[in-house]
Amino acid sequence: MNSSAIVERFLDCRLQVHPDVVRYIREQNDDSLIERIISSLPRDCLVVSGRHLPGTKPARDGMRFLGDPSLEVIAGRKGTCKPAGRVEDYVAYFHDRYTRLSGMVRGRCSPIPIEALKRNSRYKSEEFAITGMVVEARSTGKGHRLIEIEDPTGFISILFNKDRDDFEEAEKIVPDEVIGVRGTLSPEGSLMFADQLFRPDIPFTYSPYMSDKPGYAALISDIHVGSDTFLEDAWYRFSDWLKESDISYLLVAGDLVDGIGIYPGQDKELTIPNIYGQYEALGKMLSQLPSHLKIVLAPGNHDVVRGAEPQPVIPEKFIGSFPPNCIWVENPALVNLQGVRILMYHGRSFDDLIGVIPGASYEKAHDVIPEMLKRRHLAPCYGKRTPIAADTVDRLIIDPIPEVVHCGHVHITGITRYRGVLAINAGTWQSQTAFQKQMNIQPTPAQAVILNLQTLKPEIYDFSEGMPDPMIAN
Amino acid sequence: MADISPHMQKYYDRLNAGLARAMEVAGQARKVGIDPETVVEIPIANDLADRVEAQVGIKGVAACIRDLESRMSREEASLKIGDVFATRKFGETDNEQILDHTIRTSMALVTEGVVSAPIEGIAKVAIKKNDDGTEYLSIYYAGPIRSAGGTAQALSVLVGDYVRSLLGLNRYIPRPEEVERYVEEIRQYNSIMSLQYLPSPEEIRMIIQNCPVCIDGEPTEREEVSGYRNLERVETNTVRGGMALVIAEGLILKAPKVMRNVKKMKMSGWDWLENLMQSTTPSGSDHEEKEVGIHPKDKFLRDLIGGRPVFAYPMRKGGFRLVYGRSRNTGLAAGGLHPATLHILGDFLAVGTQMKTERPGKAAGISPVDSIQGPTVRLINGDVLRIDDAKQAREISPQVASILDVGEILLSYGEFMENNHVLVPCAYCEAWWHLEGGVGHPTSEEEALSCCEAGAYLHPDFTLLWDDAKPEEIRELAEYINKHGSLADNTLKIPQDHAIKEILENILCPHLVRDEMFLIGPAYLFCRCLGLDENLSMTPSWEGEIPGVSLDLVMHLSGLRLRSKAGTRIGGRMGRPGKSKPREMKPAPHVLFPVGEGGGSRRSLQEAGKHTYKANTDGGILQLEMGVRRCPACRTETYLNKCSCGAHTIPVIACPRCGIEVGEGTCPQCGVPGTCVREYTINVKQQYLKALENLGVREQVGDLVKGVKGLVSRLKPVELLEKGVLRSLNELFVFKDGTVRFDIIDMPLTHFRPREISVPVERLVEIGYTHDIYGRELTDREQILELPPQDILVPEGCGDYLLACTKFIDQLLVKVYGLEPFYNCEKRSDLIGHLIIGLAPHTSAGVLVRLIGFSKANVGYGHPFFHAAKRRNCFFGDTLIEIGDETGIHAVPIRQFVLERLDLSQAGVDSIGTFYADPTRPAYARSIDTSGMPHIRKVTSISVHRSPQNLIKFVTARGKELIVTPDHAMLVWDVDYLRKIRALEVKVGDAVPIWEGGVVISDRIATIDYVQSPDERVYCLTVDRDHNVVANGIFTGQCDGDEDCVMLLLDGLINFSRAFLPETRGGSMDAPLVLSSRIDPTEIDKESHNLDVCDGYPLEMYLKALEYAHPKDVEGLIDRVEKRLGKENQIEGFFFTHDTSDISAGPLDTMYTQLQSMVDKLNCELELAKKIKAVDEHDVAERVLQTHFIRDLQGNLGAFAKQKFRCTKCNTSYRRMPLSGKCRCGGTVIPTVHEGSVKKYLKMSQEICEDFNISEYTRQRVEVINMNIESTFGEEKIEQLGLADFM
Repeated sequence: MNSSAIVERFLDCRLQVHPDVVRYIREQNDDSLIERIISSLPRDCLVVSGRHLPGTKPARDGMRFLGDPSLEVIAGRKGTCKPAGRVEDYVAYFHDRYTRLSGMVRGRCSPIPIEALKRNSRYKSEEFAITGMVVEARSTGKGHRLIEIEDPTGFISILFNKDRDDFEEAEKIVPDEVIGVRGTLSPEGSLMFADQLFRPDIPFTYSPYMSDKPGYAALISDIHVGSDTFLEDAWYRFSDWLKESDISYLLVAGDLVDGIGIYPGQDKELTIPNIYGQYEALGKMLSQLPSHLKIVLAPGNHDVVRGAEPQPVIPEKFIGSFPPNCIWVENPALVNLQGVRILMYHGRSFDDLIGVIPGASYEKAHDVIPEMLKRRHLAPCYGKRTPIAADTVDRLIIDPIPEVVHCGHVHITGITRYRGVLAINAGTWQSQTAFQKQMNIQPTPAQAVILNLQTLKPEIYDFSEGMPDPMIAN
Repeated sequence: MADISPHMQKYYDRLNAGLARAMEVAGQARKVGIDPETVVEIPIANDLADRVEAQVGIKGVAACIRDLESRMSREEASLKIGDVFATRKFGETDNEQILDHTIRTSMALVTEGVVSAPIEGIAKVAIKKNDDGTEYLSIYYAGPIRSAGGTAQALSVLVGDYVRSLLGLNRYIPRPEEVERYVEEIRQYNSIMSLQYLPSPEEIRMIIQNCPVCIDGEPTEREEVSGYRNLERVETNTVRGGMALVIAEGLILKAPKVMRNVKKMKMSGWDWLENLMQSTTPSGSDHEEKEVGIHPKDKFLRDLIGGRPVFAYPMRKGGFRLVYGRSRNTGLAAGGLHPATLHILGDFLAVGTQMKTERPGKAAGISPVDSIQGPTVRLINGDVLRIDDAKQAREISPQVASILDVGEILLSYGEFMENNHVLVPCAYCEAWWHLEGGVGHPTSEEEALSCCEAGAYLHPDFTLLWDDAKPEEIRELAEYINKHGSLADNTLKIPQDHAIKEILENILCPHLVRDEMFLIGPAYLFCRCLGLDENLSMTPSWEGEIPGVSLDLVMHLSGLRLRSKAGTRIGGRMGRPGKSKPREMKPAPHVLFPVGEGGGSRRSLQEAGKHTYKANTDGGILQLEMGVRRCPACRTETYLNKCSCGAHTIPVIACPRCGIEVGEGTCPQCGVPGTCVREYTINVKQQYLKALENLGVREQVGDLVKGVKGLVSRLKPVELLEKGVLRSLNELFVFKDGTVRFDIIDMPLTHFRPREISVPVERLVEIGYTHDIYGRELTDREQILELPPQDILVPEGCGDYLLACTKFIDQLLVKVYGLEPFYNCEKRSDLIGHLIIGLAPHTSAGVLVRLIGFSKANVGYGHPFFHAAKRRNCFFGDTLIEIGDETGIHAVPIRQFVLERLDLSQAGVDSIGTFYADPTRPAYARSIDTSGMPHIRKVTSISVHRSPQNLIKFVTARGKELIVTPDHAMLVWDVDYLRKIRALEVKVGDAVPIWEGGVVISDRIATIDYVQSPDERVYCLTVDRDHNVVANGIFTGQCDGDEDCVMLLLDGLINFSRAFLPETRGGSMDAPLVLSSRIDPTEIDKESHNLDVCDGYPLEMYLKALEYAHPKDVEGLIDRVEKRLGKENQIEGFFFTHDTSDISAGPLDTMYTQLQSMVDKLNCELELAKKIKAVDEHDVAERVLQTHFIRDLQGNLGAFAKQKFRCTKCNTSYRRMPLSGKCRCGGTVIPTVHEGSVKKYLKMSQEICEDFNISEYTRQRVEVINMNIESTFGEEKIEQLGLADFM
């Protein structure tokens, strides 16, 4: 059953239908479901949305154990990162990614092993589903999409017809993500014709946890201390503003300092050309913040740690000047603030995803975060710009589902929400760099996103020109 | 054609006779029918008309073109040619064909028959229907139209219109939605590829509504338009790049040119073009204010690589002192150094090695010239002496403690002219001295003094570098000698003193250190210059006011006239080492015969003979894909070129789907192009044994005969196995086109001595060298002979290889073709006088040359014209490169960029006819380092080259297209890093880094095609540090490499076949698709016109140089090729200013290639840096760290976490580890980047940090990298030895 038929059936009953519902019906592959939904709708319903589906109740992912301290690092505590490099690690790493992500799809599409297609002729005639990790995605001469996927038992090529449902999503298939596909086999058995695409995704029944106590967190990123484009004035305005506010948490999603040797000729653009000096300066800046403020610091690609993700915490020898209220985490890290889980990830993979996902752009990098959520992976593409250190578990998988994803890296503030998950891309404290000028990237410097932990409502405060209004605690 | 002297006429007659003889033999051999074709496949081309005819493949067109060109301009001719086609003179059957032929031919004409646009750039020409029922012309442009350049693009529309009206077709009447589609699509194309000029919607509408021809196109991009989709008359929704280019960069930007032609041809319906012309006037280039004098330029030091030493910092004391002049073996971007200098500088510079120079150009090939001064050194015992003898230099070099001065460098006036560099004062030299009254050559102080008394300056040999000492130092020296010195037998003795020694060393005063005394002698002039009399008393000249400038002071003190011996110092460092070696593909085959996987990793026939694909079968039976051919006589189908019945077979091209034989076109039913492939089951073992038997040779154990894995050509013909066996016997390897080649480095040579080329005088007389340059009869080995443009010397190794090749050809002729042997060469010297084909990289036109001798140095010495005649490489003019400047980053076609930024008044020309210059305004390009990190790098120079006839076009899986010259360096991902390989070595499936959406990603080469070059010029730029650039979204190397190759004439004529060339475009690159039999100096690169051919410079030049005048100011006074063009003496009667005794003096191989490990190279480099006074070793160390080691470390560390994997068994590469951990073939998959390769330079870097004065910033970078490496791989495990270990 294709999407338009489903939509038409609802339209016949003068009902609008949410795309999630269409997807769900298609996934269930049960025509009678439509009638059941329609019959159970309340009278005044105009738009059929997820909550009208039978047997689906809002649910949240995982339990919350709240206690003191109100801030807890769930994943990405110091010392989680391990050196990598053995062959077995790579096998284990991708196997772990496949196993966990395919597990999220499995329940919805009942896949068979790819090997079975070659062994058993019955699949030639009937519809079936498989899950696998994408090996290669490309367009055919006629504009269809040809995807090769593999599972541990074999490889198969899948054709997404451009005139079929889900093609739009199929165009966004990126290498190394894990997908499920339902479809039929070509007569000679070498090619699968896709009918429907499954991604691990966030269940549309997902409902985020909100703190029962009042609390505010400031989310920022990319401070770039040491660079000649670091906006010191704006930072001190922010610093002063923080002192006056009710904010209890400050989260920084990487690029704390500008680093050294990150790009050629960087020494000419540094006011502090000493890497120790850069951290020392930041430590002093943070020391001026109220001591009750809990500061969570994650590394980014400009920081002194290795570039391969997951990145370890900043080493001891650089953090001497930092106040004791700093909490050092890895990249990525999952932090629990009064029960609200915030997934901090610097965002190196934007560079990859923007390149491969049609329509994605640096200006709207926050719109890429939902793409990560759909794939339940922070950096699905291996081997492109994002270096990945293989470990026996894939720490870049988004599991459990957080309430908030907090990224940075592109220096442009943006907020979006996807199926209840708040996606925040924090801006920067650095004005437009020479490189960005060449690239025609307009950053949005000196902005902080203030998150109300009770309502999960974000608000952007701009410190670039002057002091913004004080925060009104509600 | 210019006049020609009887002597040269005789020379050309000889060449032509030799060519004719070879052609005859080759023709007979080809008739035997065992090759893919029965005729010789290298046409002998003479002019443009021939090239066009060859390109478009319409017989007889050349004559028409010649006729038209004699009467009108090329552009007019390109339109008028339409008249000829309209009469259906060449057998056109319908209007579409007329239009097709006209447009392609005229384009080929405008683009000089060298770029691919006429063939590839126009997908098709169609006649379609307007809504009123009338017919209109629609031209479908494809991506390669880019290569044609704006003018040709625009003219193609014009010629289309011209013929359209001749044929009575109506104009194109667009529908409104079609117009809007153009508006949307061109804007979208601009966002993908960045046009040079983005027309406004109004402009686009105006063009489309008015242009009488419908400019259509093939889809070229991945993106589709979103608005005006599924239009009836527009077949595709995908963006059509070719169309956008023709409109935006052709019609709009070239509107004035189009208009001019419209007026000339009195065409109607183009008036609207006038309105377009205002909007697009290019902005004038801004000129910088120039001040008199020059400043040190350290550009040549920027990308220092470990192991390539620096010889002199920019304009520093002790650096190369400039002397103007041209030796027999310099000029055209080659400079001369004294052979002693080459030895003293650690043997890093061998003959032909490139040296990056501060000025005038960016680099110079190095030739030994011993008529200039050598280096001055201090030995371990303290002696300071100048070394003017190569042998002495070799002996003394272990004792050298310090190199005080690296000697003189000989550069010609033409170099300055070519590079548009102001003349700079040169070191005082004898030629200059002669011009100012000097007579003879003084050998003693007395003679020198008497010359001075006769009014001359002090002879340069007796002039010290007084200007390098401060006046106070001269006084200090004089006073010290006055106080402590003693004079005996004209030898000055002064007690040892540190400060005094420094002064002596500064002025390069040779002295000995004996018994704690400095001995200087003869000392008369030295003392006189210091203002000391015979008793070492200070003369009265010291009293009163004394000049404040050192040289003036010395003149004042001595009463003599002196000129500066220091002149201008030029910095230099070692450039890329060249190599001369046989051309081998990897793995190197002996024969173009497939062996598939059965041949093992060495692809040998022997291995294939043992291969069994099933248990219990006989070995050697393989399934191989080969071309289908049919015997016209007995209709037998076979893969062989010759049927068993003896007739030559013809390829059978059939539709791959329905099997209908389609010939050249596409299948009428399925619409797909025909193919010619069948899987044959072949008993390779049997075939191989049969070949051995036919040749009457016994199977030799160990001597493998290697084939290829599979055939890549379209028709997949095979070579006869016998050829492979013979090549293997002679230890020769075959190149993909069936020829045997040897790569050599080019060096220019205009004159030689018989002694130097190890050829007896008698033999030289036999081949036409009857008289020396002074018109005396040739009798002596020492006489100097002038080299005609088409004679060359090859390295001895090459001679041996060619000798083996002649044996192969002779055996082939006798045993396979059943003909008489041709060469009958027994020893190397028998090769003298035989003809060979010279081929430059990235070209497809060979040049006929004659081999007249051998050079001991590992370079090919040839006439500058020969080097200039071989066309060069680079990018297609329309290749888009991303250039950043003050206004941001834009993608611009390289042609536009180069032409806009190339200050022709400053451009230089190197030995191969390349214009290059620094960009007029700073510009940056995007490039990538070896580990795949993108960078924005400065463009250090830009260049225009002659285009080769064919270029390679790459299309990647992501649809990116790139056209480069065949030898262009392409970047491909090796295991963990980016490797540079030549474009023609790139294979389908190779991973290349591309730039998409602001990130570097890896893409695969999907197709490779050889295209004819649509433009006479190709363009390139040099990018700082990484030496690569994003071109059309693909990272590729910039152009470099000037290795040429040679092959035997008969080898080319007999064994070369186009049919062997890869089907992919660009497959014909670097193949001798055409052979130029004669070099016309007016047709070769303009660069060579700046070669000075005089025997001396006028005094004005030297004096003007003192004022930093522009070389143009004295242009008229200096005899250069340019002044002789069109005259009889344009190819003969050349002279030189400086002689050299041996063109092969100095090291024959560079130390760089002799040292194996980077540690050794680096140590040598730093050791040399410490010794040379003009070099700052700490700075060298820091630069090496920054530009080489740290980059490598960082790159590899990054690459480690993005690495690919490969199968140990079948070598399949995986972008990431397969889930199963196993290859599809069942083999083990392993990582490609290893800890060791990441850490390779770590220890060395740390040591450099300790040993040298390295900046804190760089030290910290090494420290951080070390930390990151530890965090990636874990800390180095230090073996803890317990007590138990000792018990």
